[in-house]
Amino acid sequence: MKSTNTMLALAATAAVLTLAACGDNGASAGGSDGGGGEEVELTFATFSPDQEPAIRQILDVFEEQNPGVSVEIQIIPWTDYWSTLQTSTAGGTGPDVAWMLGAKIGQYIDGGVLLPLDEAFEESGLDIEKYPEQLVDLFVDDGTTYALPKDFDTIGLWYNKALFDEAGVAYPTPDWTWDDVITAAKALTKPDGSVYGIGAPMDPQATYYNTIYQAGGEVISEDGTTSGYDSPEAIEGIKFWTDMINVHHVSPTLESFADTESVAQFMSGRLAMLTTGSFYAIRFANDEYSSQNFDVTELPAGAQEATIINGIGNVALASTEHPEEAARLAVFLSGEEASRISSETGTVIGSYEGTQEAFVDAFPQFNLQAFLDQAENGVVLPVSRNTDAWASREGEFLTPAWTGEQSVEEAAANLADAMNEALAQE
Amino acid sequence: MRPNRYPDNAWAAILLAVPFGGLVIFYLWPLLRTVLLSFSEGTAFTGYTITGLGNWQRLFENGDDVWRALVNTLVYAAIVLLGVPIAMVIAALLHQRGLRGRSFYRTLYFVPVVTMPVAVAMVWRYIYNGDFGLLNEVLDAVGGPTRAWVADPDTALYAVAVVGIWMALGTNLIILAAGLEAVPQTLEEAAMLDGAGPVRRFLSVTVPLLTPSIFLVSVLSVIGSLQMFDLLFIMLGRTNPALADSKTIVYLFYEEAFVRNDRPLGAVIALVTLVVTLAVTAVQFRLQRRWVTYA
Repeated sequence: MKSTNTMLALAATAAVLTLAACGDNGASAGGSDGGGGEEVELTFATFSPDQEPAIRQILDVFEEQNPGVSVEIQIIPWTDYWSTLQTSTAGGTGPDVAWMLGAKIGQYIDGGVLLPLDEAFEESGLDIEKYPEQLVDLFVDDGTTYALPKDFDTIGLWYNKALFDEAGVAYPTPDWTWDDVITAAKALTKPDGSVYGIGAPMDPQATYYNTIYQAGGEVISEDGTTSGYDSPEAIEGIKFWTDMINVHHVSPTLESFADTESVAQFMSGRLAMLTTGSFYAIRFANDEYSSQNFDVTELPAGAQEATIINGIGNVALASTEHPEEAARLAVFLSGEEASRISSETGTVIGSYEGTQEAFVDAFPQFNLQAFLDQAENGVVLPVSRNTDAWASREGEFLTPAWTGEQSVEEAAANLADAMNEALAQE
Repeated sequence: MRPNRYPDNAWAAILLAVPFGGLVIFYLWPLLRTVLLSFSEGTAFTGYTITGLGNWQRLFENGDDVWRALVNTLVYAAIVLLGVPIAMVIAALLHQRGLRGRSFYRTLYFVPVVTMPVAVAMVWRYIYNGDFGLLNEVLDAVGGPTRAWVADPDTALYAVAVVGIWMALGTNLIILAAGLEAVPQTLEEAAMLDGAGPVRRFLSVTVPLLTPSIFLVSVLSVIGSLQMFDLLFIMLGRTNPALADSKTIVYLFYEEAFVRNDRPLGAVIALVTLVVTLAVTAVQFRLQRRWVTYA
């Protein structure tokens, strides 16, 4: 009897494996090392349909290396992602593995719903030294690792070569300072309003966080307990942008950016410069005008060099029925192999050292090396335990500074008060 | 007689139990949970424990936001209510005898109702765009004032309300058209024989007899407007300088509950919305005695 059961189980497993193999073009054929014979199905949640092809490719490799384990991708649109993940995780019906951001992880760690990945990481043979250190720290709490960065992005100074040529202005270089940007922006702006020198949208990650750190300020104190907005350096960093609109008149207004987002204005040739992330390389490359005319260099320096660096991590949820496999998958999705596939497809910059050059080569028309060169000056996107509680108020308090109704000093002081109040509740 | 009555009642009870069950599961139970949540503290992960009036106190201490949102919501509802007389006039025009292409026009006015609000909002965003918008092009050509309609705090709420009127027009028209069918031809003809012109007939005969439909449309329009969120969310966007002055009460709910993850405070705002909606509707029902004619 026993042997019959075993035979049946084996036959069933083999049948399922064959089916699975058909599903992914035979990538996981074989499955010969047999494993435990138990079929494990994992769900992986992500918010990016753009990255799905690369993710599928990575998962195929994982399934091949882990016979008997199959992974289903669940794409939840960004607007629903965080509320869905939170409620389903709290209700115990969440995915096994999911994308995570530094700004969100604090709540999940406090809630005790994440699996520690230290053991699975050790088994994987990956080297922690090969990840950008600032990003690793985002996902470590009290010496326990809950996620590893799968990729990273930095901010660069994108520019439109055609508009620079037309105005007879030399292209930006990595040596540029704030003053160089202002001088060039003035020369590039056309009096009839058809071209502006630079875009100054109210976008923390792409604009004012960078300049706050370049000016020597900080958004949040090192220990994450107080706001840095009321320091003279932070105010200077914000003023760099508000002056572009209200003093130098070299950027469209905040109203204009509300009507047409800055990237769309840049791609339509209305802005000569825009500081934004490496994550737009793929969009610019797929647009004929942008691909021909755009290039990118490092951000200009203020009192010091700085660029905001951010990355996505992969977490395993404690509610999973297969903790061992889930942890292994979470590590694999941030591992060397995954990193290489991400870079080679030009999807994002893989986080693992040695795999990043492939991203630079993916779009040779842009000097994407600038994003890698800046990583050493990277300041990780500021977070606290409950980032959303104060980050969601930044726009509200800084709007009057952008429209010129209030001085930057006043707006920043009000924001600092509200932020300190929110931080006190953490 | 007697043997029949009992099975009828049983069937009635069974058939009523289905919608009643739905009401309990999908409405009353969530409502009860919302009330409990509004007196609780915690997060989704730690669970919620009932602690008392803290959230309600917080709401009224930082009352400025709530008041502004309430005022904005009521202003929006009032403007969209102006769509009712517009719908009446159009319904009357479409009701004229001998009108050609009646169903074409009806379809035309009904299209916004069956279009996704997101798509509608996206199209209107282009129309209202301050730099390249269609509206500004037209106004520029005739020498009118141009501006960034949905990014300017002075106009954003009104610009959105215009879209609200346009979107509600189709539903309002259908209800009013049905009401018009019920107005007896004989009364119109009698008025005509008495020498009343089309406008006079509309105001003195049609409108009074149409008041029950007008009342229904007004109540539905106000309830819908008090819950307005999607148009604002899509047409304004999160870094819009007009946002602070244009938030509605449901937008505020969304921000607290889903952006800041403060579900208990969100529950409080949801309940405030419920109370306001009930109060406004009660006032409408009270006032109907003065102007609605039930023939």
